[in-house]
Amino acid sequence: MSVLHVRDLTVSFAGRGSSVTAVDGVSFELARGEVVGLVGESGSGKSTVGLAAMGLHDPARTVVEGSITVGGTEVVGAPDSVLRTLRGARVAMVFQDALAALSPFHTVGAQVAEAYRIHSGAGRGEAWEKAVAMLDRVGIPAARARHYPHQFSGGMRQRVMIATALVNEPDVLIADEPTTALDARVQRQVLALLSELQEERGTAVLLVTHDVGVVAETCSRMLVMRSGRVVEDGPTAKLLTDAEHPYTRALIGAAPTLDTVPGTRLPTVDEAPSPGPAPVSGRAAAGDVLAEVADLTVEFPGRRALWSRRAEPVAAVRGVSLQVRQGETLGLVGESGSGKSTTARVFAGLQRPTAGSVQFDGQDIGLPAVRKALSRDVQLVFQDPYASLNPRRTVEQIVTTPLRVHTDLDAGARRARAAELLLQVGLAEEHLDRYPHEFSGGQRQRIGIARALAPRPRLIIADEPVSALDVSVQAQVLNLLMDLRDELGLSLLFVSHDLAVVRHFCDRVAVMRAGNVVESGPRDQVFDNPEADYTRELLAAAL
Amino acid sequence: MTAYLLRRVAQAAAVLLAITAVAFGLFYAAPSDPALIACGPKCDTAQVAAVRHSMGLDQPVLTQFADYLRGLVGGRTIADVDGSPIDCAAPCLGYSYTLHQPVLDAIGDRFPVTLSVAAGALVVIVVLGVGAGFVSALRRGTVTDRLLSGFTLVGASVQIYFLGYALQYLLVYTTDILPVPGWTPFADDPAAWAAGLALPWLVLGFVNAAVFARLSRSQMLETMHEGYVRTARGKGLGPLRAHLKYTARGAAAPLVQLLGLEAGALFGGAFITETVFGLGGVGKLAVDAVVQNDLPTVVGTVLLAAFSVVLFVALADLAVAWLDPRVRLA
Repeated sequence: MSVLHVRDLTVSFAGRGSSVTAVDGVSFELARGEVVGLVGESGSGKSTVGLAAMGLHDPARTVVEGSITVGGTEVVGAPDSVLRTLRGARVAMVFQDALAALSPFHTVGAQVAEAYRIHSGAGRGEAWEKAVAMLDRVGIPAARARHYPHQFSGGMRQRVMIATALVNEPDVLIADEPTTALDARVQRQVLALLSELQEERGTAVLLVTHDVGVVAETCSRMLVMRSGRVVEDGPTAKLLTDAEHPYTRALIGAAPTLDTVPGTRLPTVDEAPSPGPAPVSGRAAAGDVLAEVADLTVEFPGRRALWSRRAEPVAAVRGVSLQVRQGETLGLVGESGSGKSTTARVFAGLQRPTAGSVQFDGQDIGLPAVRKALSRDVQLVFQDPYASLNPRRTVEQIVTTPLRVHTDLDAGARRARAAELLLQVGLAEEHLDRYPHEFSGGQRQRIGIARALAPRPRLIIADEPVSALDVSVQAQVLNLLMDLRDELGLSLLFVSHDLAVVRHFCDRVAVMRAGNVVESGPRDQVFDNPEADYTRELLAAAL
Repeated sequence: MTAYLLRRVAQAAAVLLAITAVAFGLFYAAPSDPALIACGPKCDTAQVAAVRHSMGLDQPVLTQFADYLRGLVGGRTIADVDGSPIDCAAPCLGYSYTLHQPVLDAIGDRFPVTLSVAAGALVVIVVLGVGAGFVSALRRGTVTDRLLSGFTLVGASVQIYFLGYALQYLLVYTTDILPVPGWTPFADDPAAWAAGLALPWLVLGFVNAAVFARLSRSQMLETMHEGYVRTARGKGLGPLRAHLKYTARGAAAPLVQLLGLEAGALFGGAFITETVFGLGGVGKLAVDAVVQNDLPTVVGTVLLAAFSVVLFVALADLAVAWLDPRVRLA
């Protein structure tokens, strides 16, 4: 018996004069107690399906057609009074970013209690007891029920979100990227909790995600969406190994896993799948030390207590020593807050160390003469390709700026060089006069890479360069970086939280935790024979 | 929360001390001689000197400032023009030789008027301004939204003296809806108190409401799309309840801050409004004192206005901290 029944669902958003169809004729059923993964990349319409099932679209700007029934009740076109009896009671939702989705003004206990009171008509005391019990069930002790969301960690906040959604024992739970913002270990814990509660209560779960790994871990069946349509629907085990649709195959193969042969070209959605992984190009043996930090400590001023005159500093990096050799790629792995980005910023000369030495090419980077050279020889590729390109400047202006600063080329020569760089990163000369908003996320990241390559740097620092991208685009950008690395003999410092990507891309790996390097060494050694417990833990948590 | 409170009070005290020093400096920056004014036009040089001595004006500046501060805290005795002692109880703001009474008493006599005008005007501002903003945001893009925006814009673009006289003509002289504006103590006759102040309340409220309407509208629109509002709807709350409980709360902080400033300004005296409607409040007192070169009263009213702003801004900060638990820890 199906508890959620979606038939010919079409959702379009009215724009100025035109409308965009986000979901185009989607049909599926969710049986009682079933866990189904709805997988797709950004813009595929997967989240829109979830919101439509809750009836949460703004009727003024959205046209929803087709039929969605929850336990027999029609959602599409239903008046708000009907939807209100469904929402939170029979169909509930867990949102991606729990910090944004939970009210900052109310205690977590009050938020769970409210969800219960709306539908049960219970008194305040009874609802509070129910909320505390529910929080306890998701692993939040009763003593913390009176705390506010900002006093919890990301994983704990997501637990609160889950408690809020499940307190009324709904038939259907829609979980929209419930673990995307979390570190791998926390992600695993939250997924385990969801599965546990799901089994305990027989709730049907629609897990909306871009992450095939999450689906493989939790869902018996998966639906693959692309451009508003379901391209494939079947048991997870079958789709993972033997998908019929080429898009599904590409989506599954695009993300490197801990079993992928390192350094091979990754299959992408738009490129025809190559007959097999291309042979690994012979990576030149690493040369002399190019950049080095020794006993690096970075502290940030902390909050000053009322009675003390001095603020207790917060150490982000505590005594780290690292080397990047000529021609090698060093991967810096860690969870959020481990100090990996701060360390990278020190390498780039963007963050002054509190203590320790920083050398580039054998010279202390604190020297004024070295700093000028450093701004040319070390270039950065950033995480967010939307935020890191100035929207008011053309691609030519963006890519030629470092040339204007660091070379004597005239305008014509700079343009020629920029065109050459665009070709190198897989774009074309005619893109020079366009603005960043005309490009997709992956193309923007290519522009960012072209900009970084412009002054012919000797070291490129890439801080999570692919983590904001969809898996298929991520594969393209990783392939590009690998090509460029071989072609130009680049040295890279590659910062990432993603173990599989680091394993795939890097020659040497350093694992950071709480400001310390807990383990470092050649890739195979770290991944195959990890010495530190923490590395083993991370590897075990990776999906 | 306690630590936050203590820090805020300490800050407020520091600001007040600085303003007191600057206001006191007025005595010396002003081109007129307080002793000459106090003594009157018929005094000869020797008499003025005697008055200056009895007023303590021949003392060093710092000594006088210290006396003034001491008076603020613990009260002091001030010499009248003829040298007879006048007891000035704490907080002593000095003695007006024009009004022949301690400045604090002069302010105290008129403060009920200012308090009544300001409190009523604030209510009108909140109801009209925030109410209009809230409704506009919920009805965005509709005729209601545009009408409310236009209506509040009219308020912002007219001057108090024009609107005051125009409304007085319409509501008092032409239609008899309201009595001539005037002051009746609340304790004597609450109905007459309200009727006499209705016009100043409307005018002050209407003129100041536009800023609040615009700010609350844009704040509401911004907050409406916050994740927690969607979560509230997802729990099954109706739109109005979700917006009242979550959107309004999220939108409130800047409004409360602005309201604190507005309240501070109003409780310091509504200079133009009181003059237009002939109400004898602190604003009128200050205007008269400036015209008559009554320096102790000028300094006293400046201090009152400053105190009022500091007090209400601090209260607004506390209210924001109460509204948003994240602020308490920042």
